[in-house]
Amino acid sequence: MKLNRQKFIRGMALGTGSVAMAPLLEQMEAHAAGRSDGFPRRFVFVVKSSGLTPNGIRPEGIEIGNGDTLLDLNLKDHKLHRSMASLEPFKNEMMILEGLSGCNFQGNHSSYYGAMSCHHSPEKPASATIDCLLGKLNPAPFRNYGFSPNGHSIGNNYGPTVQDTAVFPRISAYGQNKPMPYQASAEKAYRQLFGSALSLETGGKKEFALQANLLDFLKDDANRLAKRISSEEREKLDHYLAAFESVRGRNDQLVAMREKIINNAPELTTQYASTVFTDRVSVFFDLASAALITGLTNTISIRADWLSVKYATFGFKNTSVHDIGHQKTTDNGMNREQAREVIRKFQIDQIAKLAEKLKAVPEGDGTMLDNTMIIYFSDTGEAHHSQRKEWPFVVVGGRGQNMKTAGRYLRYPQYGQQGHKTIGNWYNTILQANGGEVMDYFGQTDANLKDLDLRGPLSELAI
Amino acid sequence: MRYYFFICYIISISYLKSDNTFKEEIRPFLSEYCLDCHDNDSKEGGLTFEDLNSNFKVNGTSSAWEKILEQVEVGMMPPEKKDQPTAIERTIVAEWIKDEMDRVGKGFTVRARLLLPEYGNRISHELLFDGSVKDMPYTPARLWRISPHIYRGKRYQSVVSGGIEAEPVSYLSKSTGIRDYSSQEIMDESGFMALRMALSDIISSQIHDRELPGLSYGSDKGKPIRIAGKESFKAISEAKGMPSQESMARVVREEFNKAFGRPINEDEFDRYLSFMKANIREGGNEAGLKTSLLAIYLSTGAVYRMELGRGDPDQHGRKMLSPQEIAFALSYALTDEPPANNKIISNALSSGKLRTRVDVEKVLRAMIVEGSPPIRKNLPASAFHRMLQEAPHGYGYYPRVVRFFEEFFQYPRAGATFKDSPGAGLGSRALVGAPQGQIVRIVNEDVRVFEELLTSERFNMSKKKLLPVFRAQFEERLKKIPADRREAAIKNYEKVSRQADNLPNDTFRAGILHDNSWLIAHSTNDQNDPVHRGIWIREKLLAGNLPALPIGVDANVPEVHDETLRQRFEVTRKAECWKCHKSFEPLGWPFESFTDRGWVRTGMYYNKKKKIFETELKPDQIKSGLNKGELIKYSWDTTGEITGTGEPGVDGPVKDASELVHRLAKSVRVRQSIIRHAFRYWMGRNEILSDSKTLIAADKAYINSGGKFSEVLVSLLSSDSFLYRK
Repeated sequence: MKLNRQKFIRGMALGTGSVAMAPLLEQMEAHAAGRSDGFPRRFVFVVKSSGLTPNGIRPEGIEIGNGDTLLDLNLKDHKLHRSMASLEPFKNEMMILEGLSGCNFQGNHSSYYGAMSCHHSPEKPASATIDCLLGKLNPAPFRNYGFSPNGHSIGNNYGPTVQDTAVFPRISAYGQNKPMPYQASAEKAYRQLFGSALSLETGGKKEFALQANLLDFLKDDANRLAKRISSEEREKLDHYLAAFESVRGRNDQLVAMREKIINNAPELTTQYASTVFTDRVSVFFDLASAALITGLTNTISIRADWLSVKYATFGFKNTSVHDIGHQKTTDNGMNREQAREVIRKFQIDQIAKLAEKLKAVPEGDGTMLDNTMIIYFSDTGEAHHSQRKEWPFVVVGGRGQNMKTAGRYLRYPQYGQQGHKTIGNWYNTILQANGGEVMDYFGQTDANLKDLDLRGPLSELAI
Repeated sequence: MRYYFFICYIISISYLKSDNTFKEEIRPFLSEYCLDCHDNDSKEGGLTFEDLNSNFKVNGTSSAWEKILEQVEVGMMPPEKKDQPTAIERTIVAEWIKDEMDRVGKGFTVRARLLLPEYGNRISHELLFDGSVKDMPYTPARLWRISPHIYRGKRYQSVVSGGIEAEPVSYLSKSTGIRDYSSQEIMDESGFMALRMALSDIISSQIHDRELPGLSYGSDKGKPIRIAGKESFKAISEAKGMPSQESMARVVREEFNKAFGRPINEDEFDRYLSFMKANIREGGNEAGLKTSLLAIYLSTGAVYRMELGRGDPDQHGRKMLSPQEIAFALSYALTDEPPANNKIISNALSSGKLRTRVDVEKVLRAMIVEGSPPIRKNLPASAFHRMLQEAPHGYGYYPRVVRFFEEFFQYPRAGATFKDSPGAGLGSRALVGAPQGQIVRIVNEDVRVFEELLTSERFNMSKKKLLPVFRAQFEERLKKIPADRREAAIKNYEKVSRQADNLPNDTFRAGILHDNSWLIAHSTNDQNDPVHRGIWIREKLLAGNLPALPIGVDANVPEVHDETLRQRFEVTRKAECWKCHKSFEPLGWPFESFTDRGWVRTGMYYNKKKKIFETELKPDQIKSGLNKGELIKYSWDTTGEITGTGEPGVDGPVKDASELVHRLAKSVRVRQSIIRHAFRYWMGRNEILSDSKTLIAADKAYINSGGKFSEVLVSLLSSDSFLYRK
């Protein structure tokens, strides 16, 4: 089916349109634009809940003084913070980014979608998030793929959190009111990503092959209905038909990648069924590296933890991340900063392992890591009850991605000072480097910073 | 009558040459109401419209008009002290701007926005209720995506660890308003992917018997949950070789019925059966079965409700819903179950008695008399049993009626509002269960329902009032308890009543807005929220409008611990903030009578470390703290003001939350605003001017019946707006 753009526009003019229509048009344009130059630009967003503090990631020997001036230092002159020791080998291809703010998108201990869209949107996404925008710019069979240890399941938006199905961790969105689901079940993620080419007990290649029949059948069914209704009511049907087309397109790509999938699919181990939190997170990282290496997706988002998580592996059996944020001593006697360090080290180690795997795959003159940027940050900025006047980031890899991130410690002047910048500037930088539409402002602006020039990307990172 | 011509005029101006309309109608409007302040000399707010023309193709021009549109619709301009345009004049200008935007292809965003429930109040309240609009009401023909609740009614839920059940879709609408809105609920690529994934999970879980990890808490902790597969599915998935014709035919018939809510016809049966056979031959029994089931569940007719108007057209160009369509519409208006599960509807359908408005009214009245048993959802066992004892049936128990009040008052959000502030907590179930019980009781009693909801003293948690009620209820219950269990029951009662003894002796609580749940639902993590409380009243009770939150607004209130919230809110008195805040803050401040957890405020203190104490200190601790100078007392201000109803007994300053709700309950505007929201909820769309007759009829039905909500329902659900499509 060919979407009739004329018809969509007419629908708009008549005002019969439904609310969800604009994003589809946008999507159609993106597909038409399609990037074909060089190697894919890949991104992995690792988002943790509270506990990623500036002091916890600052390399040794760096004094920030009163924080009023820009600090631009070479990481090779400094030893990384002890919780980040596993990243020492990557020091010349990583960046520690401090001093950016994101004040006006708050929520309840989290900025939720706002952390990646820079909008106040604790419940429903107000706009596309940076990961989804990048997914659109770097097409692959799976535009974006998300892993989350738990979250609210699809029809369970505000009920209890679950961990064995697709969930909404309220972090990523394709557009306004279009939240991106994450997969909480490692087994299901495995089947979705690699099942098309594998013989599995359930969800394997046999089922995949039948999907073509299913899509044909559904299309035929929708067209039968279309004959019975007038053109003005067809708009919703057009969306549905477009979905079948899009899935078919993806399936065709998966068929073409069959050999690659078979060769790169990880082994399905018992760890996939583990209920131990840290096991589950490390399986997500394994799946992420395999999916990237196979080329199934170029943009991955990982919800690394959640306020209610209790890291029993580290002896915090009765102390959640939220409790730790409130200075509760862990079961094994650690104070807040000690406990946060243990958690951070675990997450950093996962990132280092992922970087290692990507570095082992040659790509052009370099390795896959050069074309993959891993971005580690918190959904709530600098503190448990944050003001988000600081929002620290750790960036690993991505040397070949048109941004001067390699080997840098970059700290912007503190909130309100001349030269201060926001996370919106940072996201604009990433977008610009990837051929995305550069906006004057990425997301909402901060009225308290109206005297500063906060337009466009971070010039310090531009090539 | 005079207005009628104006309405025709509104409709016809879009056919006039735009230039003429601009010169003859719009430009004079600007001169009269805008240019005093927004001419080239004054340029109030940096805006001038003196040279504004009607060339919408120019971006600067169209964005200036968009600003004017918002002010005209919201009613914030011209400022109060200036001459105000009439509702008709505002509507004419707003319609002209939207038409001009359409003409140059820029109208989509504005139009789409008006389909959202939060923009529902943009249509003039005066014109909707003054009787001047004589148009025949209808709803545009539509496909309406099946809601999560209807999926629940169809028993499409996946059971995941801990026994939690989840529907395969979620609402796309905002969680702060009406959820099931036809314009917003659409199935596009991301929706299709998510639905396919969820349905595939559901099917996989039914194909074989399986075991899930158990709960991580409670007495059954760790006990695995066993779930049996579906026999009809297992007859195919576990068959050796090609399954029998009967087993496949059975699955096709049963699952189609479940998905579509009606029996399959022969043509459809042949198509689905041969599809299943082909899939099984190609992919084996299990994969073939799964794919064929997905084809049924994902079929357009199973994903969307069809409300096309399949009846005959009338002289106004409208088509009535067919009896089959009416059956679905009525069933989903009150329940989440398909019509086949409702005897009154299915009997009427099969005996040909769902053809006329009179038929529909009869069915509705029968359904209201029949009522529904209470639903256990969210209710603590004791509250649920009390409900069963009091009234085992009632129309207020219909799930869609319960949800209307949930979505309108938004009290269930209290359960999900995380509290960091100190003070006595409440269980989240109690938070939601208690008001739900009170609301259902008021609705079932069906006398002056709105006034009761807003002012009933039964929301008062006073132990003086509650304990005798508990006692009487317990004594009643005790009579039915077998002799050998009475002693234990008495002990248990004594334990519970001792807990109740800790309840504060509240005195003035009245109505749902004074309930802990509503207050907590409209509060922040650690403090009261005069902004969202005020906005709620302005929009939900006063059918008022607010402009969209300006981009770049700093929504932070400074953290100064020795100042009260109200003092810290002084920042909003700046002219650029206050122009909007004045319409909601004065409605929100009276709730300073309560703490942020909804307890009646009796004292507020802070110590030298600026830690705040409200309810957690005992009287002697307060006394000694004050004596020693370790505690400093805050004073708080509960005054506020109602504006904008134009009703003499309603508008004006109020001294506290009690006076606020009692005055609101007297207001005509409040009654009509609740009816507008009920209209939106039950029609699944915003009202348009041509729905005026329907709204007036519903309002009259309420007044003439002495405040029966059931009459509002009958009136709305048998109206032209509900039954006709165009």
